[in-house]
Amino acid sequence: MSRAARALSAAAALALATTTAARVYAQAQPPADGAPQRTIVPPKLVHFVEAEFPPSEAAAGKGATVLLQIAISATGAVADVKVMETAGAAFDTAAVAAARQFVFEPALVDGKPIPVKITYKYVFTFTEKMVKKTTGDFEGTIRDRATKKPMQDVRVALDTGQTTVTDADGKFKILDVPVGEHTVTLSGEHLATVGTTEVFEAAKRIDATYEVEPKKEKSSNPDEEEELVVTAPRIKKQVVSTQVAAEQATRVPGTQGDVLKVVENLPGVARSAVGSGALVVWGSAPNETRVYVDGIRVPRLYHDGGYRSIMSSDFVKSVELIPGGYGAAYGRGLGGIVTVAMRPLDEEGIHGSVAADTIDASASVRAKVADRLHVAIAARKSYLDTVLSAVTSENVGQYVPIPRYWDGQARVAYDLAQHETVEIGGLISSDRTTRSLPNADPSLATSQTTGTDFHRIYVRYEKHLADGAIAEVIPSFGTDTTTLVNQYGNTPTELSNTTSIYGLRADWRGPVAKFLSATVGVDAEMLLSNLHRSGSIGAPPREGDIYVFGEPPPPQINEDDWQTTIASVAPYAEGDFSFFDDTLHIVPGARLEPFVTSTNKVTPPLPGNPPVSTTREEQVIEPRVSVRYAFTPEISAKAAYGQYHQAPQPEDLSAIFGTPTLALSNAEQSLVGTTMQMTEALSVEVTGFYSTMGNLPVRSQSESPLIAHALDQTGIGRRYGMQFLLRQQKVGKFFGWVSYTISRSERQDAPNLGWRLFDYDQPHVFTALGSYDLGLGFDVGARFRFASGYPRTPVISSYYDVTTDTYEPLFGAHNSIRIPAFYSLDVRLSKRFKIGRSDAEVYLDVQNVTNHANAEEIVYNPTFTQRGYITGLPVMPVLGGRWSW
Amino acid sequence: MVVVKRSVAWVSVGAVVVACAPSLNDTVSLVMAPRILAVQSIPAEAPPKGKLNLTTLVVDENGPIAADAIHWDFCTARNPLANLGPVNPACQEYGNSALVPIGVGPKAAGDIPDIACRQYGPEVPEPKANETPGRPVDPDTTGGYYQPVSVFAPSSSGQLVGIFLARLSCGVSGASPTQSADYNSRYRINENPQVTSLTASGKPLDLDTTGKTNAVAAGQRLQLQVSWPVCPVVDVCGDGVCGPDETKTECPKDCTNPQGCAGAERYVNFDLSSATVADEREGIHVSWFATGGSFDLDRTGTDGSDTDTNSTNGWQPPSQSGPLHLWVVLHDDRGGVGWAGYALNVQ
Repeated sequence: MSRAARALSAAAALALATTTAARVYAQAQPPADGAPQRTIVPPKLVHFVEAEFPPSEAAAGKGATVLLQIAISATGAVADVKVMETAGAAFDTAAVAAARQFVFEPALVDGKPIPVKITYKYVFTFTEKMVKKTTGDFEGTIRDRATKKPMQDVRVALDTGQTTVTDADGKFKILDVPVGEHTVTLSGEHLATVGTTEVFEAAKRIDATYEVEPKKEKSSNPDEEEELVVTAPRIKKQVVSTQVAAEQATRVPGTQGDVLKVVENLPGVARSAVGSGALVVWGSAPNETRVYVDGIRVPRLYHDGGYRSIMSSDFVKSVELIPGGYGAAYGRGLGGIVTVAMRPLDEEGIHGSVAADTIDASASVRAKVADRLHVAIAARKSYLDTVLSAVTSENVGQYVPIPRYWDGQARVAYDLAQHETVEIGGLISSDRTTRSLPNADPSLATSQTTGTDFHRIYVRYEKHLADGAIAEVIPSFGTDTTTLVNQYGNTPTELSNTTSIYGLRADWRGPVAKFLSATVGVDAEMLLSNLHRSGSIGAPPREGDIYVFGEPPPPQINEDDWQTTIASVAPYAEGDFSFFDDTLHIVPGARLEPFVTSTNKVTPPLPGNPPVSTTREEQVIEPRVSVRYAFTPEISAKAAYGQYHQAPQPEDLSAIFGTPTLALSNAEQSLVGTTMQMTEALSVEVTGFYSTMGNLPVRSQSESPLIAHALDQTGIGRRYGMQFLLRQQKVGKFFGWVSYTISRSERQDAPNLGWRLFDYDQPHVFTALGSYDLGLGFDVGARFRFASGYPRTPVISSYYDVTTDTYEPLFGAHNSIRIPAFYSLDVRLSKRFKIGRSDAEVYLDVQNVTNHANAEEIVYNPTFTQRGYITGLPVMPVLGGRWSW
Repeated sequence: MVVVKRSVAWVSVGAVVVACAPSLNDTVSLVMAPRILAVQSIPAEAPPKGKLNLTTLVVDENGPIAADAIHWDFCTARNPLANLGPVNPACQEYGNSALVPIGVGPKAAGDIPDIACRQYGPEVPEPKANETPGRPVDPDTTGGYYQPVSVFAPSSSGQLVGIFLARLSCGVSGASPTQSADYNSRYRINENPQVTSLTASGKPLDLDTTGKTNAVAAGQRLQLQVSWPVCPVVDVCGDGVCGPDETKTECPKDCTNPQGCAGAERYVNFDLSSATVADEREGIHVSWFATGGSFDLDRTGTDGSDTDTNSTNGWQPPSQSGPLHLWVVLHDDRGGVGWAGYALNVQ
């Protein structure tokens, strides 16, 4: 069962109204003609009962009058009450209920009590008196997810025992729900039972819309069934973010069913060079954008080459990209963040899947093994290198290394109590690439081997408190290991980094006042790194280096082993103030982060002397604020500002290859935008951003750099642009989006140098994609991508190095030309079908169907008199299948 | 370019991840215009203030050309870390203030600047006022440091620019005093490699310096083999080479006036990884040039683990008859250079 993650903003305050005294008048019965004159005494109301002002009508702020006919018995009791003039069902019901409790002195005729009928105006008067209610109310609409039509007779049940059934308009209402988090269960004849949780606050109303899929034949694929999407109200935790549910992401062409690969199609994300898998968001460097899996930082989102993500899609509930302006809960990065939400382990029975295509194979199992205990495990392994060696000649991979990778995830979740869960889990991933280019002259032979491994072990404790708050504690431990071994002729390059990572994230988030919800927490991280590097200081190249693809590294070599410690403990707080009936949200926050950066060598030690370490302490306060205002339910505006800092990379703290005393880099991010909901499923979003960066480490420009100062922090940067997103949620058979980002990212390496384009600058990125359900289990989708090429520095001439018999390039203006633009049309065709009680899917995902020769890199002939382009993927069909149960 | 063995694979299992390199003129062995092919320094290695005798091989499509107008300069600009090329770009700018002229003509001689080991070697550069010491230059994989020499040769196609790196004797960096002493006692300065013979399909060719022309058949493929002297792999007193473990005392015959070997020499190097003085052996790299025909490979060679004293290459003479020239340039790992030229007559 899928449980849509959802937090609720403060619902509109409920105003309770009181009734005023009613006026009573009797309608005397006239005497019969010729009859003697009688003494008639009308009935007298001796016990008045005040009707409750209907809460549902309080929002309107108006009173009403209900004209009743009350039948009074000879004893004075109310025998019957009928509505003669209605004021609406709510008022009528309240008035009748109250009138039934009235007590009268009976009417008298000649002193004898008789039964009579009177008319009675029950007047409801609205007053502005606000009464603090100790419970919350719950109402909303349930509709078909595909057709958007309301669904009648759906049973809505809370774990408090309160239930109701939707009416013909799909609406429901449950009043006086105790505060706190409660499970909501939806069930019905045409609906598989689904559930979610809501957090109720005192005197607040949750107005929710649930979109569900009507019951089909039993399916074991959780993505296709029991999916629950909450569309409103929905707290906007981040001012700018794009979130994609797993079910949609798997159907995007080019992802080959990999949920996390959808990120590369989101606005603000540059197209990475083929074979890199780097994540370039809003013109920031790949290492400036951090990736989190349920709050646990992982070093990468994709395996080498970008062909696959680092975790099983069966474990992913959704993925969210926040390109900038994010809140105080996160930090340590100058760019954006990607957060992956894992699917909760709450399914009954045993589920799993097996999938394979021409790139890799994977399997996963999720099971409930005891009353409160769930386990899940998944694994994947690639065999692309084997496939390629079978179908192509041996020189595949000379220019693009063929990745070999595997990953695995394991999770054990135990429900300590109804709203208290502890989960222990682990993530592991490994990548290897190898390529070599032999040559008859050993001084020209090249080879390269890379390795990237990481693992994480974590414990997540989560408790939903009675007042609606949520407390979460996540300690984690892991290691990141990277190795690079490169040989260009006699010149070696070796770089290895083994980092132990200790993390702790603990937070509390919940209501503080009627107009305020808050998050407070602490985010701690400590990195202990052991590094080794040998070879040229110029290899591998850094951002901003001027070189040509394939250029040999400088022949000068050196070697260093060093250790670093980078630690920070960041308490943070954030409040969400809502005003004007929830139309205005102001979310200020701050993050106080003391950094400690330590390196065991402040300078290269002299032979026989022990190294001298250095420690740097910096404390920063990072204010963050965001504002959202809804002009109408369909149109809203937003803005955000934040300060961010990033510690130096451990690789940069070498006394030989870097600078051990590097300080923090910093950034300021500002953004403004608007969102318009054109229809219930179609929205358009426009966001402008501007960011500046400072203290960026760059190579020393000096001809005589000081010892242990290979890097200077004279770099500054700026990036700005706009992104557009037109998105059609799935309605009926179609979903898709069009995104376009126009941006500019620039750097200045030193005050005496001019601005240059950032190596990853990509001014135009356009993506249009859509998927259509053809029926009978067939889906067809298409994606078109256009992206500017990365900037490069042109070679304008060369000179001859007679010592090595090589030509050396002479360069023009820094990053003044570009690789030609990239465009590709990709299509996807899939067919789902049943195998017994399980589901299967086969798909054909064809990238670059037009076989366009996209330039991926600029190369030159040995004398630099000719320029050409290495071209990337030709038409690339990937045939795959998935079986799930 | 990737070759698909089975085309059906493209549409069946696909997932072909390839990159295609463009077709560019990447042949540098064919001499079609004036070029500087080599520069040689005698000695091949010298300390600061030591004299270098420099000579060059400048050719065009008709053979060697007079190099009377060649300008020779020592470059004094240090190479910033931000520049990934071998020398400061100022070294290739004719007339730049960082250049110190040492002569004009086909040959030149100059004394290595006395601050060369500060500028380009392991010694700390001259400190600036109120600043901590600057960063020494890192050695290359052979432990070598180099003084850039700029060569500017006017030609009909514009000024030719060549950068020659003359190896400096600057000692060792990062070693303990004991290791430095060991290194200094065992290190022998480099000797330029020398071509001992070139054969074409087994037949020795005469050098152009003899004035003889070698006849080759038009269009008939030849297997060329260049050879260089055999260098001793162990120290033997009396072999004419003062090896690393021979001393003047133990072997005055070889070491009183130490002579190197014009082949793949043994030498000592300070290994940064193990922080030890290690024995190494040079590799020899062969650059092939001709004014016509085509070589199988532009460059061939051996590495330090290869004890071969020759290297082979295929050459297809042109199909038209006429004279042409062929050169073989040897480079050793320590910057030594040697060459030989041959006049051919295609018949």
